[in-house]
Amino acid sequence: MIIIKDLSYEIRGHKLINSINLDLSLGKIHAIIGPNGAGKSTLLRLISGEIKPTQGSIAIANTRLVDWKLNSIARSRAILPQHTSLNFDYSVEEVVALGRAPYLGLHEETVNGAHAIESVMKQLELTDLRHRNYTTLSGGEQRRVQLARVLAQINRPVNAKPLSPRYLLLDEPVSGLDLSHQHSFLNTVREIADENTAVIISMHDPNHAAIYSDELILLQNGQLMANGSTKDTLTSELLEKHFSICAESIRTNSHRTHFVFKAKNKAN
Amino acid sequence: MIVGISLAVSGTVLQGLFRNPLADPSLIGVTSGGAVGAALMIVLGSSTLIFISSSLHNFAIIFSAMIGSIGSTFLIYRLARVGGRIHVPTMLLCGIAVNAFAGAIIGIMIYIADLENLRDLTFWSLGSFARAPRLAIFIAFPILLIFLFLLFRQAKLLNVLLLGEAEAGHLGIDTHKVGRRIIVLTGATVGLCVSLTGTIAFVGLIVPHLMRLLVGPNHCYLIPAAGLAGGTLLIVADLLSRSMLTGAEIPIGILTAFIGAPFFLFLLLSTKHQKLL
Repeated sequence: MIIIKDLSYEIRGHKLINSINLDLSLGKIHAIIGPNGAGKSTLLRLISGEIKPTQGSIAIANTRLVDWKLNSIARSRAILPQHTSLNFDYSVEEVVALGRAPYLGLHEETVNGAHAIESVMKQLELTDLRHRNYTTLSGGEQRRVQLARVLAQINRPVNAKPLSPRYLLLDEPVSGLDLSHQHSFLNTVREIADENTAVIISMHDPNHAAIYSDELILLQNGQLMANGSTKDTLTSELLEKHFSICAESIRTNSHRTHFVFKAKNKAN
Repeated sequence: MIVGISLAVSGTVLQGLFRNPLADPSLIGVTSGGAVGAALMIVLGSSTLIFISSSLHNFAIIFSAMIGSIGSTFLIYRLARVGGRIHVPTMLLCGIAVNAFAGAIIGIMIYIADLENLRDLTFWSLGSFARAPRLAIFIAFPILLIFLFLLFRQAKLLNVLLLGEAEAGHLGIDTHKVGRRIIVLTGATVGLCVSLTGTIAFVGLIVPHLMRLLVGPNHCYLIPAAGLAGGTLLIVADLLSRSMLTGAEIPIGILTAFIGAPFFLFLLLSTKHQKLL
């Protein structure tokens, strides 16, 4: 469980995150949505420890983030940044294998590592690309390789019991992926979440949040505008209010809410 | 040979740290930092007569070259890092600035040096194996071996660092600590080499690059490969420099620069499309 208390982040007088309180529980997908510049990435970077909050605190599994040892937290928490730049000629398999860095030197790693790399590559349909040079892949394929690396990082050994808590932070993971990979990836994330994992995922498309997330976090100008179960919170009124757009909700056969958008009519 | 190995390995490791194949100890000012340290000690050390024995003077030269290199590496690393990413044009331009500044200081040293120092300084700064004093070599050899071993131990961390600094941090690596360690190690290694043989440019650029094409970016293989190739290259260059002119020895630094500078241009032009800059 991740508990965020009174979190603020300020840079050169700009409040990018303004006193946010959140409880992020295991086994759930938490979607962060919000217009551009709302502070989605900043919030994720704060939780990842990449930047230090100017105020407030973050605790993961009852231990304050600053008190965690880098190496031990890396074994239960993985992060996919919004942009990655890698221009060395690694093969796909080597990039995925880099995700196992926190386990270097551990006794069981030869077995567990190979298993992790193998299973995540299968999950993300990368097995055919395994020997390809990473730098020659398309943007979407590179994205999937990075996702695989991140998943390999927190992959549990076979038959691990009990399921240790895990945390997965994804910054717009599906942007740039084609439709089928978007949905197969989000389904994979669903399975991971169900295995005692807290997934925090920033998204652009409210429909993705509607289908895949359990909890909704709506940010605007660094402030928490809405927080609650996606089913009750994500409504067309909310979207219209914060995204300055016309939204119409539809119930699908699978009892999910979907939204259809059109630009706001200025004359209205 | 050990100098060749050391220079090539330092080049490899620096390229890993800067995440860019254009980082070369001589280009970004690490070598000239060491040269300044050594030149200062050669001239000032002997003229102020602090050092009674000449061997002590040699150690002082080695030590101050190491400090000079470490210092300039830190400087470049600090200046070229913009928000956790290495800004390559800044890195190269800073290298030019550091090199120019170092040139100025060495110029002053040459200006105030007496005749004997001047001869030492000139030959040494052209890069030559002939000048290195025996004793210093015997001391430097084991130290370099230790440095090389320690640098090789960083291989797996360097592999992860290639992903980017933030990503390496997410994977549980204390990037500041590793960066500092690598800078001190490479700086000390290069400084030591410089104090022995003067500036031998471009070995740290050509060798790692060619080896990366051959064995790939995995530092577990790349570092030993570069070491071997670097050693071989300098032996060949040394042979050439001794045999091309009968009776005289061309300073080896001239030779490597002759090959290295065109190679650097070639590298720049051929990688223009890969967003290296």
